[in-house]
Amino acid sequence: MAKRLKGKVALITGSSSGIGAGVAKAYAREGADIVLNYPDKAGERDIWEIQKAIEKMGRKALVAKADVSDEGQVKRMVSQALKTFGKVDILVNNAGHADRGAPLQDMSVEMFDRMIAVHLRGTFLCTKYVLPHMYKNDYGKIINVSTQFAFGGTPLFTHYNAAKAGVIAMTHTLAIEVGERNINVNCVAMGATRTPMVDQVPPEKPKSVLARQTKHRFGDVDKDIVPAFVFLASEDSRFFVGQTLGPNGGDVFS
Amino acid sequence: MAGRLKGKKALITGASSGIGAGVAVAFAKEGADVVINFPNKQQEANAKKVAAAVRKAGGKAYLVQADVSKEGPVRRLVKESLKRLGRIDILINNAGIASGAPVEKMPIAMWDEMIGVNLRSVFLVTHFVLPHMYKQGSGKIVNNASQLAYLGSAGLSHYCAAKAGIIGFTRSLSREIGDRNINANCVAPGATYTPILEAVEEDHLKAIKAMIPKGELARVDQIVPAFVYLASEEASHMVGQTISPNGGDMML
Repeated sequence: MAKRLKGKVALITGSSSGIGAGVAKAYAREGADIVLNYPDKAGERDIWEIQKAIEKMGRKALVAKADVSDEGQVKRMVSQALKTFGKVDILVNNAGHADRGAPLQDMSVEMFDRMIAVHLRGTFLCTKYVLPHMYKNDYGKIINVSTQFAFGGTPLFTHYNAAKAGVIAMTHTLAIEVGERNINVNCVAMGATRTPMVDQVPPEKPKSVLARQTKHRFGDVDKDIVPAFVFLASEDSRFFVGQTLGPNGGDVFS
Repeated sequence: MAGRLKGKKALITGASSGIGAGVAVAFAKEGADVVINFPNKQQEANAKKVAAAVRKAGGKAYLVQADVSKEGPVRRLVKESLKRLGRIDILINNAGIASGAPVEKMPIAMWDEMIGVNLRSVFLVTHFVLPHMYKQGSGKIVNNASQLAYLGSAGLSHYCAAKAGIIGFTRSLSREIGDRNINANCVAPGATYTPILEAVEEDHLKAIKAMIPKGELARVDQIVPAFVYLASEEASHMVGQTISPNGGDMML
């Protein structure tokens, strides 16, 4: 099976666990070198495991610690990536942050700000610092991570859903700005997926979500969700521009 | 990238030209055997060319002529496909035609023919294939819609209604299929260089291109990978979805 991402370099934010970790390993399997990112000490052990797994596949993996909501740290991460690999062909804006949610009137302002900062500001910052290099190379794949709840909403998560709907609007707009260049900007809006993030939310939430979904099960990171990221990073999706793919087991139809 | 559809058996309607022909060859490259459906004698020579290309790509190819808007021929198409292939793992409802007129001037026959070939066919072929997929406990159905389902297009009320109908059909079918190991999804391509587009005037094509962020119409080979993706195990969690290779014309 020929490798679909041979010779590419991919920066995947928030890749110490969950979907980001799955995407990093899948991209390496398809021939890419990887920049792994994690935000703080908590992810350190996991990220080294992933780095080892990637190196075992014969690919290179650079570990870059950075809080994607912090401009200085993002700048440093991107220049580290460029110094090591000379380019970034694929950017996956995956870094996320979860909390237990709260009704809007009870949601602290800090809670709202933190959520918007990681998901939305983080996507802006990483893209802002990677994009000029993609323009220079006239090549790039930018994949943003949203959620099906950006369409349907779900109580207690105004902050999360607003951030994720913002990511979709940013994807549309950037796709138009990128225009005819050989760069694709797209989005994945998955349904409920079995990741460490799901463990943060109250247990009755996912249950109610699965009840209305046709497949009645969580998405499996490697089997159900990651292939959409491989598709959007590969030449198979050349004519996908500003689109949002929804691997969600039949919940929101988009 | 060989082998994503290794050992799979696919029925592709309207596979004698355009996207359907491209899908047939791409599926063969990925390891599938295919039934190439074509509508009439005039398309037979084209269908034979596609079959030759499929065989060159390493797949088995069988030709079955059938007007997919009619029940009897569809029954025969499905029966013949099962006889040749032994099973149907993948159904691509792709057959389509083009015509056009403003609503007030559109002959009723033009409306009926369009809905027959582009929408009724999707129901009919799925109606006869689905029981076999239920029995074997697996299947991939990929329907070819169009971004015009969302955008609309003056003079194409019949075409846009049929294509929007396909999307609604796919969503309802997905709910009926439920948690069985069968996926039904749509591809909604933007304007693509196919024989259907040959009838469109140069000025109108220019206007279409001006609307597309990528500044160009799709070639068939840029659309086909979306069908391969949805037909493969990689899209196991895609259910009732419509994916849109359209160069950014319509962002969904």
